[in-house]
Amino acid sequence: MKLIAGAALLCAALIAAPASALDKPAGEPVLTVTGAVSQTNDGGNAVFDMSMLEALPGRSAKMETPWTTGAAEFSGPFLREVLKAAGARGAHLKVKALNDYAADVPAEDAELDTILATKLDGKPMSVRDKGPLMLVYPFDQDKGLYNEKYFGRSVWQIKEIEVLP
Amino acid sequence: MTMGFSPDGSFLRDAGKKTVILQGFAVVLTCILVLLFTDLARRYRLLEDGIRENALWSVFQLDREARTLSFQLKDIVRDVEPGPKKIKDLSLRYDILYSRINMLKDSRFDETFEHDPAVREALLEVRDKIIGYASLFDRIQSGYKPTDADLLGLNDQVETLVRDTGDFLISANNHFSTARADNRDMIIRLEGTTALFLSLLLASVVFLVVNLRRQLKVVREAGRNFELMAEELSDAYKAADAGNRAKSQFMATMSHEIRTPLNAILGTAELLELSDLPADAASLVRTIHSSGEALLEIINEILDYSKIENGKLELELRSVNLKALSKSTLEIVRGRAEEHGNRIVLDVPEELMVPYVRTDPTRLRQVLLNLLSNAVKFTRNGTVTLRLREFVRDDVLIVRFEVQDTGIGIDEAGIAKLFQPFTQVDASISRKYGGTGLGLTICKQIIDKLEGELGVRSELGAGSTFWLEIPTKIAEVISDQPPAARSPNELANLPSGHVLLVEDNAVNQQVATRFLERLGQKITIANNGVEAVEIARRERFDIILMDMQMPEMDGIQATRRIRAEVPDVAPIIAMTANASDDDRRRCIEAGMVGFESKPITLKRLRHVLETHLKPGDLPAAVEEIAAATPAPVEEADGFSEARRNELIEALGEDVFNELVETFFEDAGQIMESLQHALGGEDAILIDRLLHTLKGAAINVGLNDVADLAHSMRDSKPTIAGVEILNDRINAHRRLLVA
Repeated sequence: MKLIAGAALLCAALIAAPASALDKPAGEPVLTVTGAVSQTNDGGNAVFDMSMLEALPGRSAKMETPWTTGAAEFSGPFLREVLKAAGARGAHLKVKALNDYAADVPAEDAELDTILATKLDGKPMSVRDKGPLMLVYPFDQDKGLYNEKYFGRSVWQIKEIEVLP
Repeated sequence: MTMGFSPDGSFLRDAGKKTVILQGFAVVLTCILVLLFTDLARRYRLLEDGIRENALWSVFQLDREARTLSFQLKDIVRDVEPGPKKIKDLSLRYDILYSRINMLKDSRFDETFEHDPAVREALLEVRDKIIGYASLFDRIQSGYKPTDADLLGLNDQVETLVRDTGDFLISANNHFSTARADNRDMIIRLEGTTALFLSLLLASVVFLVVNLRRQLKVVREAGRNFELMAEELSDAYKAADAGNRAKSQFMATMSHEIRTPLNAILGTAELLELSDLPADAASLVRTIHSSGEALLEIINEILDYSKIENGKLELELRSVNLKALSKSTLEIVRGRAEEHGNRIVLDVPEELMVPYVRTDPTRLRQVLLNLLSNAVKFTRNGTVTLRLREFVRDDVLIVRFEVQDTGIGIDEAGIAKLFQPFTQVDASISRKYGGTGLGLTICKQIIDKLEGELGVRSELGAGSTFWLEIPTKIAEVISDQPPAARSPNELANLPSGHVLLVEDNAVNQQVATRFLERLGQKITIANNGVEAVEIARRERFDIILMDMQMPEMDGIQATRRIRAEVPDVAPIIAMTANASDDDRRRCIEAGMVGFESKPITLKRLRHVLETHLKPGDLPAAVEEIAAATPAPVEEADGFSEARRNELIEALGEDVFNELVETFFEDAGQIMESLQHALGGEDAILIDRLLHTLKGAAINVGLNDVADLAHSMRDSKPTIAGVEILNDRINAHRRLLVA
């Protein structure tokens, strides 16, 4: 139910968005959104470089995670904004990491203030430091998220998001 | 019956103790169980610890990334000329591996290994090795092209790393497996303990329930026993009460029985006094008379007491002039006081705050009279003072009377016994002074009923002061005036007046007429209520004597009419064979000022006239007349010789015989009507006929007929009952009219 509502909202947002094509990334590509996307700039995919991502609306928040010592500040664009920019349209997301780790994330999770963190404590994240991108749930906003279910979905070293129907 | 309470009681106490212990036990067990469950829950959480699972996962990932790096490195080493893409990928792999070690180093996963030194050591070794490659890869990332020697050296190192990470993975897994197994064992142990405690708790609860059930059973039994006991007590109380009532009834009956001949003695003596007797004989008669009166007083006291004990004391609150009441009461004892050489003092304030109060004057006077009589009785050549004071306490008007004497006084022990029934201060008192010892008990009861207090202050040889305080209310109507003090022995000076006699029965008419004539009164007769109203409207009377039950219109109704229609009406006095308190109240309510029980005696009639006839036509006072209601006179053959003598004395033998004849004629008619009425079941008519018969019979002294008629009024008369009545009348007729 929640899932469908989330998907519907997402769809509505996408339909309302202007159908302008995504610019080609100027810098090194860091994220590829594949699958059901309409705003493409590389064949059938939407490719983002770091500056494109950082231009999108997002948030910066201090929170505790199982992967950091003490509270750490994560900042980056909202997942929903990234998907919107890519013209994504689907109910499931398959978030893939550099090491081929992948997690299924329901599209409704994008409705939360989930971000694709580009910076940790104000510094860009290197691959050695879970970079370049990490899916960070708003653990600071909702304590209910602080469990294995969301830890598993918190993929780091993200390189690709596949949008599935 | 003996009740098994003591074993029940001890069982209940034991059971109560057991219950408390079991409850305590249950509470302790519950606490322990709660602790155990908390621990168990915590251990389950630990067993399911996601972080630890994740930690193991991370170690596995570390191993996997190390192997991937090793694989890629081998691929590059095998290549003669590796391309820059392969070198870049290798560099990325290293970064990923590095991120893994960082993950284990920085994050909270680290904590999980803290307690196992072997795991921790393996981790540190692996970490050091991985960080050791950093300088080479940093250079590669900044553009350095690694030489074959670099790569081969790295390959060797990575191979050992892979071995190490494999070992690390195994030892971490062992660590977690052991921990998990330990935890599971602990949980199983805890579960065992919990089960044990749970069964203990269950057992104690079962015990508790069993114990409570037993207790409940015993309580129920005890309740039943209590009920039984209460029933028995109630029965015993009833029996005791019945006994007491029987005693009172006996006293009342005895007093009646004694009063009957006594009345005859008194009547005869009175008549004797009226006749011309030689001086010595007159003195003897006076002695008979005064002794008889003393005896009557005692009997009246006993009657009063039994009445009070039966709870039949009724108060009649009226507007009372206390000053007048004090004066008149004192006057009554004046004669006796003077006989003892006592001086009498009335100490009443000039002006009372509240001259008229609401109280029961008859009862109050009775109490004062008793106290004054005592004072006079126990004082020789001294002073008896009646003091009246009034004050307000807690917004209530209190009237205080004191009767002070300078007599023999009472010691403390005597005072303690004073208000108990049938007790006098000591036995010698009754020998010397007489009396029943009931007087003060009656006084106390009356004052209690008036919600007041009665007390005494006394010293042996220095006199006594009896005091009483009663709360009263201010009376709204000022209608009570003191009766003029009169000596009951005073025969002369009776003013002559015009009397309206309202009476339907011929016999009663004749008796009353003769008596009144003898007392020098002018008489007009009205045969019923209607006539009475008519005559009263036409003529002026000084006094109206009113029969209660009459055909056409009864006395109550006639009184109301007369009082409503005739201005400045004469005092109306009821004359009736009914003498209950209820009748009395009804008469007073209707506006009558006095109440006389039948048979009317010469003395009572004279007293009525004395009280209500005043020279100079003063308005008559409200006065309780029937202080001592003469009981229906009875004798063995049901005929009152005293009454006969009284009548013959007043009316003459011829008139008496005429009277008797008239009665039997009347009675014949009444019986006929009665038999008739019995057929028609006219209850009101039957009652009236019986009442008339009773009144007439009592007047000629046929007391048994009167009683029989009266008793038949209480229950529905039967034909058999009427027969018996008829037989009785005929028996008298044979005897008297022969």
